[in-house]
Amino acid sequence: MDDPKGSTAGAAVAAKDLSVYVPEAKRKPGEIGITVITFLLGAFGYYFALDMTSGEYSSPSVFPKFASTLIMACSAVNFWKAVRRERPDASAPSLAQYLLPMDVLVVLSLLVIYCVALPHLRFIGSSYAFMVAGMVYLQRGKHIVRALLISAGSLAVLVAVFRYLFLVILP
Amino acid sequence: MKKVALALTLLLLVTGSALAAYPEKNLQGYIMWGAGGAMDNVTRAIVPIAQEHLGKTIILQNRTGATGAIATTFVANQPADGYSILFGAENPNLYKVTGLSQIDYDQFDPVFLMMANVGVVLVGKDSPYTTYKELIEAAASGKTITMGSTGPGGLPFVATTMIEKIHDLKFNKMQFDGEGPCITALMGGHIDAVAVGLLAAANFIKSDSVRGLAVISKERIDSIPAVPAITEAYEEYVPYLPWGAFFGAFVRKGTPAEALEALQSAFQKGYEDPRFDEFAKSTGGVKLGLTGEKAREYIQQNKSVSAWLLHDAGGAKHSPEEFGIPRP
Amino acid sequence: MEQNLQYFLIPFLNWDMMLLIWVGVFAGIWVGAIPGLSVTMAASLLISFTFSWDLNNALALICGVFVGGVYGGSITAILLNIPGAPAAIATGIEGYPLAQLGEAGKAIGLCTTVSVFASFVGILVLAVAAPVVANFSLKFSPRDFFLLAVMGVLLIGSIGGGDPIKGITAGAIGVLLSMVGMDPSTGELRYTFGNIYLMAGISFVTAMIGLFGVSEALTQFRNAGKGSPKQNLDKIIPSWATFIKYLPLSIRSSLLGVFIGALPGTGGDVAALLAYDQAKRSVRHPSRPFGTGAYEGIVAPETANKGAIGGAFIPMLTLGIPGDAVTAIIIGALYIHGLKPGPMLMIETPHLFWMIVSCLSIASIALMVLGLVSVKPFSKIIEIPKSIIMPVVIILSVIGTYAIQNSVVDIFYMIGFGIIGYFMRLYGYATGPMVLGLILGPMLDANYRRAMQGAENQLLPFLEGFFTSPISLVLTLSIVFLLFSQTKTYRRWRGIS
Repeated sequence: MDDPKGSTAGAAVAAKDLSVYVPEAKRKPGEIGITVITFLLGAFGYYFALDMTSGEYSSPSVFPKFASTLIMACSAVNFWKAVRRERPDASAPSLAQYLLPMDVLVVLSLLVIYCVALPHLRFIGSSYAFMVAGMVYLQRGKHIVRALLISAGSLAVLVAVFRYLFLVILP
Repeated sequence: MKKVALALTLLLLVTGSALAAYPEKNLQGYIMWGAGGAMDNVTRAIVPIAQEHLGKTIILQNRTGATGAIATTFVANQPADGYSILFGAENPNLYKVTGLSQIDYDQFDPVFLMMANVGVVLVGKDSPYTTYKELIEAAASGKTITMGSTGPGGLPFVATTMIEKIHDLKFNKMQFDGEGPCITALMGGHIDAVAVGLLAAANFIKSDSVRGLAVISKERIDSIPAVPAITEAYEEYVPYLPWGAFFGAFVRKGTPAEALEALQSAFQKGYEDPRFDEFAKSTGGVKLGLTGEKAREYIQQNKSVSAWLLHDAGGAKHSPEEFGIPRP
Repeated sequence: MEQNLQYFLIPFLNWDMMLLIWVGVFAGIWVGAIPGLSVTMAASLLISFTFSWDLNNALALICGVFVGGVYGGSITAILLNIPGAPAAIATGIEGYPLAQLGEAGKAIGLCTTVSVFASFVGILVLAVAAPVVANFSLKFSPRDFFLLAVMGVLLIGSIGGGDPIKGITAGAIGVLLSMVGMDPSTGELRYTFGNIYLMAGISFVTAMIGLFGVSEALTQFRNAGKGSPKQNLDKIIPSWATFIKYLPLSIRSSLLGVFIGALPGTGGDVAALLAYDQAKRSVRHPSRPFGTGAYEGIVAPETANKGAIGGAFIPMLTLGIPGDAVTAIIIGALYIHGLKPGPMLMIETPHLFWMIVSCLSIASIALMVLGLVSVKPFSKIIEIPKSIIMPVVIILSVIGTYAIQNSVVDIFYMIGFGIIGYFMRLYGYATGPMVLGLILGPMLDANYRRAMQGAENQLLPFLEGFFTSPISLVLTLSIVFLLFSQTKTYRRWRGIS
């Protein structure tokens, strides 16, 4: 390709947090693992496509089988490429460090808690808690009042737009 | 005596709010087909009038997917308090035999059936077939006729199955995801013929963009008098008729009688409103206006024709007998 | 002719309509910008809302929302990398890097200007050539729609990140996921495992919000300490010279947009993707390399999706066939107001045609004004610290997802896609191809099967069709050329680096 960075340039640049950064030439922690996962996904896709109506060129199973095969073939290439890459240095971050630096881990946990709490606390309660917790954590405990106010303000706008303008019944 | 009175008072207290003034809050309406389709149009035409008589707003949303099974299941799981209305077409009548879902109109009380939709067989405007007989004879002679169709349960699918079964034919079928795309493909010459609902086709027939060969009904339809009834060409269709699609409003079984009556009278008034008349006229649909027991009978008749047709054509996973659906 | 002019002037002489168009455009910009809220949703809501109104007023409002909404989707794509609507996906590819460089204002300014231009191109084609285009669009067979989808798939080469094989992997996974649910043509259940929620399939808007929005937010948290880019807001209105520079590309892309929009069932999303791909392949010296903030990569998709607005009205007004989801709803509105949309519409009610043409024109003018006025406040959004904006963006994504079909399950899907997208990015799998696969998967699958059914399930007649039908032949040759243009030989010959 003409442009090695591709469309994800912005994201790729943003992702270069030094503590969890792995140089391009080296294999990333878990890079082989993900090719195995995608391969298995393709295999499952093919396996379950066998149950679908088939027998004709226009059967509903044709495209699922085609896509699954393509996934498996590409995964095999990715696997081979990943294996051939240099091993990561001893100083390279571990899999967990690479995938889930502290900030991401906290936000992800908040998201999971949010999903669990949503049916109990309703939308407004859980969303407010999520926003406040997220902001307070990301600002390292500073500006708590500001976080409370901004969360309340933005939630009020969202609820007004969705609930009263678009008549969406919030969960 | 005292006890009875006490019990009555308690009962009144418990159900009091519901009895006093249904509806006391806005209602939710779930449309089983997407925006812009016939089901959606009929719903959005009658609801604004009906809610004038109801005094509260019916908030409409399209909850599509799985030929309406998603919406049907969803409403069946809402409280039976009359605040959740399902706007549905004939599709649930085939859920059991196709194995799609165990929840169909048996779990619902019909509020009102607004309109019916009869099938009409169309060919392109430059097609060599000018009558229904010619089309059938061509197919019988072994000529390949490509018919547009939709998924099992849709009107085009069942109608095509009916034609194939009666004349012992096999068409080559091209499957689309709705009646509109079928008509578009017909106009573009990508298929030879299609059977669709009149609501989708009326304006195309009137403007000679497509040619209507026959309406699947015992009589000609007022809005397109030039198109012959299918029984004029073949008597064999009589036992299957009347058959077609319908559009109605439903609530879960067990809804308080007061709520059901309030809804029925609101929709009845909406139905009789001249504004709805005008809508019915412009779409070419047949006004139905059934409620209560009459509506239930109509739905059952439709169910038995469609379910058995599908079964006889080998398109059903389960026999209609398993569910006690009588043969037409 | 004089009569038509009179019809055309109706909205200009009617203050109610004028006002409603402006209100519609303003509301549309917001509706479009908020992920999950779509023009389709707004239009169907307006049908009930305007039921008792005069039809002209209702149409004025809906036209305004339509034009504003398509534009609004691009704003969030540029600012937050969350396309407000699928038609804005391609805009985000170049727009978001530009915002990171502090040029969000300039990007939105250019986007506004070319959008208005393209919108007028669409209206012009609608006004002068509607019947011709409509009849031509009918000639597109399922095989041709399949070929168009294949062209869209080739875009994976452009947005797949550094490694094309990884791009194809992500794209194929997207296609596989798009198969989940009830097949709309045969009713067959695929990958549903008896679950009623899976029967409805995976909404690609849900996936899009997760894969772009939430995964972007998570990626940003990897370096939350980094400040937000300072925005330069001096020159937001592009100079005349800039406009002229992009004029040939604008004309080309907007015409492409009009045509794709006029095809029944395809709309601004496919148009914008194809236009972006086309620009990436044909522009020799972009302002910056594609993928890092090339202005050409904003001009092409933006002109295409605005051109598609006029295009979508072409089959609707001439044949009564909707060009996209919004025009399908407008057809419904006409029925409800007692009109007969269909081939007779232009003959029985000619005023309607010219009135819609003029409503769209006024909406485009309104877009110019309202769009440029809102550039500065919008651009300020990215200067807000990430620690504040990101939690709000996540909640916005949640509520937007829920609003699509009032389903809590969709929220879980969306967050799931966000997490998957985050992991994908870490290993160099771009999320764009996956969304592309989700959008184009059903189009590929259904049209391939229809084409095969048209050939009576015979392989040879099916393949023959690609070379015997003139439209298919042109499309097939274009695809061969597109593939060839990827090769080194061709690029060296044309001098594209």
